[in-house]
Amino acid sequence: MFPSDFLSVPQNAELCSLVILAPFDEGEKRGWLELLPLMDDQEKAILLGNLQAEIADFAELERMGVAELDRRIRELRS
Amino acid sequence: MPPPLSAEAAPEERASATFEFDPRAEGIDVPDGSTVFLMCDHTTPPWKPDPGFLMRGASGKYSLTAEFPAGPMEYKFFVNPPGSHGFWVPEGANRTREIASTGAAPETTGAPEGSSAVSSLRERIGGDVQSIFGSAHGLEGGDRKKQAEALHRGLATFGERLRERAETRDEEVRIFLRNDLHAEIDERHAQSIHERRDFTQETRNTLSTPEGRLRFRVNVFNELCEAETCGLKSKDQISGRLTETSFLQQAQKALGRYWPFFDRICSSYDGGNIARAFHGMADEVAKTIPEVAMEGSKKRARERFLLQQRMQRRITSETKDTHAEVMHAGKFAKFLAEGGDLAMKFMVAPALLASGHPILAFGAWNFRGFTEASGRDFGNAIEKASKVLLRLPGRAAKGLFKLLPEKWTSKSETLKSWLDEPSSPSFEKVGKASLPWSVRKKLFLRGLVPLPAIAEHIPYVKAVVAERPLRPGEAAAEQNAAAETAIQNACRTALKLPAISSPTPSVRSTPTTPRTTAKHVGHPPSTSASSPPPSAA
Repeated sequence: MFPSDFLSVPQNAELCSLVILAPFDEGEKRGWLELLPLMDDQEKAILLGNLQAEIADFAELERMGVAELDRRIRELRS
Repeated sequence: MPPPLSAEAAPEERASATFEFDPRAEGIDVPDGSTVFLMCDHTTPPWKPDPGFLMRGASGKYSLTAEFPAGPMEYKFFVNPPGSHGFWVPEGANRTREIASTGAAPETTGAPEGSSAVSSLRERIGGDVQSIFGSAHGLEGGDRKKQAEALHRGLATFGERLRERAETRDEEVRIFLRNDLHAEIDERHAQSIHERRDFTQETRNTLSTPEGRLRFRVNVFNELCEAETCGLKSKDQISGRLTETSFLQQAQKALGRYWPFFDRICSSYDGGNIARAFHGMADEVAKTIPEVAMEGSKKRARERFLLQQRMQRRITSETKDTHAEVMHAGKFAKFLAEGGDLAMKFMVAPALLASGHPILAFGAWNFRGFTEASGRDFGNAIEKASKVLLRLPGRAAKGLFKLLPEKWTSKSETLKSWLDEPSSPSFEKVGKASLPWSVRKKLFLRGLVPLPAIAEHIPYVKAVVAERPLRPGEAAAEQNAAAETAIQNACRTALKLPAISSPTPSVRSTPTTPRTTAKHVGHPPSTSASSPPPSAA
């Protein structure tokens, strides 16, 4: 999908992997992956910050969700 | 000064090769009208000439014949179904193949029979990659313009989708979270299965996945059908693909009063009832994550939309002037020259989905600006456009309509009815809705809505609930015991464990009495003693 030397630049590779990792649905992920080669450096920096914050936030939500689930299971048992 | 386009130096060997993709042989369903692309890891497509896609032959096979650099080549097929939002890859892994070098000059190998499309393309462009991607002299304005238009359409469609998503971001996050919690529960379940020492390794492997557990239950059910016990006949056997819910419905219907036995005994092997309860809990937990936790996500979705808009504006300004030299000097030309138009092909598909009416191509903001500035009355155009937009998936159309000025939405009757369409009632509201008693009774009996506790004491309701065909008596108790043995044996056969010689007595009363059944509609988390407690990580 990308020119082959696109992913050899570490920033691009990082951005690509963050887009794939992020909690978006298929359409949005594909759209961002398609647009990555068209973006300039400033836009890439903005997207990078956005993705990192999104992933961190979702990881926190997951942690909260699993803790809540554990609490309820313990309640059920006792 | 254009960047070097073709990476192939003169001395590199090339050979003619044919790539074939046979969806039927691979068991993949490729809809008619799809386009199949060949993708590989090169800066520019290494094949000459480049039609870009595989042609469909009469036999349903897709093929592409061109010249490739000799040596090993890793590639993939991408399928672009018609009217879809994007593309999909039939088989996840990369395919590899060796391009055998013939040592002959490329022009002399020629194309094999049947590739007339390839040869006509080669004639047209003179076999020169440069003329596709542009050269120092620039390409005819026509092709560039089409490419630019396709790009703009793709960007506009993506932008619209991002804007709608920014509004429903919290729902999306809840869904992701729910899926994660379900995966977590499945993992723990698998762990608990693996800790059971009374199973063989094979059994443990089967029962640790949801598909394996479903297969186990289907096998038990089919065994019972063959043995013709529990009121089942041999013809009731289930085959073919099913989901857990469809099996649940079919089995409940077929087993009738023996369903609770089936569920309890199977669950003693696969922990199914507890897993169901936990999955229900996960759904609740996902629902109760507070709104305030999603605020950051919504804000960031909006940021992404604005970022995309910014990109769109920049690219539009860069490609506005289709004069060859200007475009050629810009980033867009560099992008195209580096093979980026392959990426653009995948953006055309979503654009084509929304195409068919010029209003849609401009994007909502432009539309409003254009029409308000011109001061013209587009009332009729709105009526026409609304008919087109009604064919779009609901949210996209509604999102666009929200941006239309008030004076036009009030004019169009079609639009008003579309905007006022009520959402379907959820089952939680059914109990509180003013439905006639006959309808509510039907829903209660189907077990879809829990019966309020007080209603059980109302004589009419008691009578209604007692209509359910569950009346334990002495004869029934014998039948129950026989059913239990049969089910136990079927389970052990399905898992290839040795059969139990004596029948297992049922240790506690089964939930078959009318009153308790009424309480346990929906997801019954039955706490039977025989099921093993899964380990909480």
